[in-house]
Amino acid sequence: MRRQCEIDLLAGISHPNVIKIYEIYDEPEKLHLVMELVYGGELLDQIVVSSVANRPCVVTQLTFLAPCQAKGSYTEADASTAVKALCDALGYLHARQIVHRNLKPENLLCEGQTLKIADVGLARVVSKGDMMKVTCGTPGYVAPEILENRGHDSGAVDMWSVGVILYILLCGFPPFYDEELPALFEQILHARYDFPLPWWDEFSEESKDLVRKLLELSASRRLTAAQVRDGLPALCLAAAPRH
Amino acid sequence: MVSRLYAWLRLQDTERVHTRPPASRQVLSHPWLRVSKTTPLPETVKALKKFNAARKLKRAALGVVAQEKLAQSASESGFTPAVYPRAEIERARLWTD
Repeated sequence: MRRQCEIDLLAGISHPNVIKIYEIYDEPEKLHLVMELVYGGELLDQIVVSSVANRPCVVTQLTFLAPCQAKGSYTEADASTAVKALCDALGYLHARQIVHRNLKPENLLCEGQTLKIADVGLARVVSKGDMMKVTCGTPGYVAPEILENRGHDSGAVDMWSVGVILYILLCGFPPFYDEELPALFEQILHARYDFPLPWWDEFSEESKDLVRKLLELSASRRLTAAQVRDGLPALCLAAAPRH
Repeated sequence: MVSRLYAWLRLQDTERVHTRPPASRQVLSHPWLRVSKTTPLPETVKALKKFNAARKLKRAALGVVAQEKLAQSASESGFTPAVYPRAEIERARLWTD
């Protein structure tokens, strides 16, 4: 059965930045997944908590993880570490034809200093209706080709979400935002976003360049995970000998 | 990457001195991933804090809408959710598949 193939595929995923699925029990009415337990909570929450941690503040006492997370202030290097881990995992998944399709901050968890992606591959085994229950929320991370409902089952849809997440990791607010969904969809469909000052003052041209190449309307021109991680051929220092 | 390194290692010694070894992942990645600015970003953390709070509020609110929708289908009372009209929910469904 097709579903069995998908399940085997998920169970076979093994990457340090992807939450491991240990067991899958497939019953006619229910699908039970036994997954790796991750304690650290969401990445974006962790960033706030660990930055507050160096101040004597009550907030740190609420989470027992704060002491080992207290690494001081959040920096651009931390954002880059997260994006690197994200692209490493996505490169691995996309090479296996697994597309996440629902990347958003809620699915980026931490275990200590390690980023863990949750809900990988669920879009493939869970039915549309059930998925709706899981995904209800803002579609602010969704690639334009998904909104337009054209063929979109490529890793490029994940890379758009990485672009949105990278943008948020840098300035702390989302590139596309509107209370009204139609207006939000318009923004996404035209990639209508900018780098408002003074919030983007201190960020390098390189960081904006990466955002632009990820929030690229054309899925085929958008950077792939492997390109972000390993670079474009033009960026290679030494030409690889062919064999 | 490994095969490129392997190919380079298989080159004759004379060739090898004239070609550079394939650069490591670190070197090849997007330029931004190579710069590691360690300037603290207090403004970003401040904004993130607000953003996180808004996200959580929205999630809680949507939970209520979902429950109300459920109640509606049970009672057929003709209730229309105030936050997102049905058409919008239908459109949002697009991005789950």
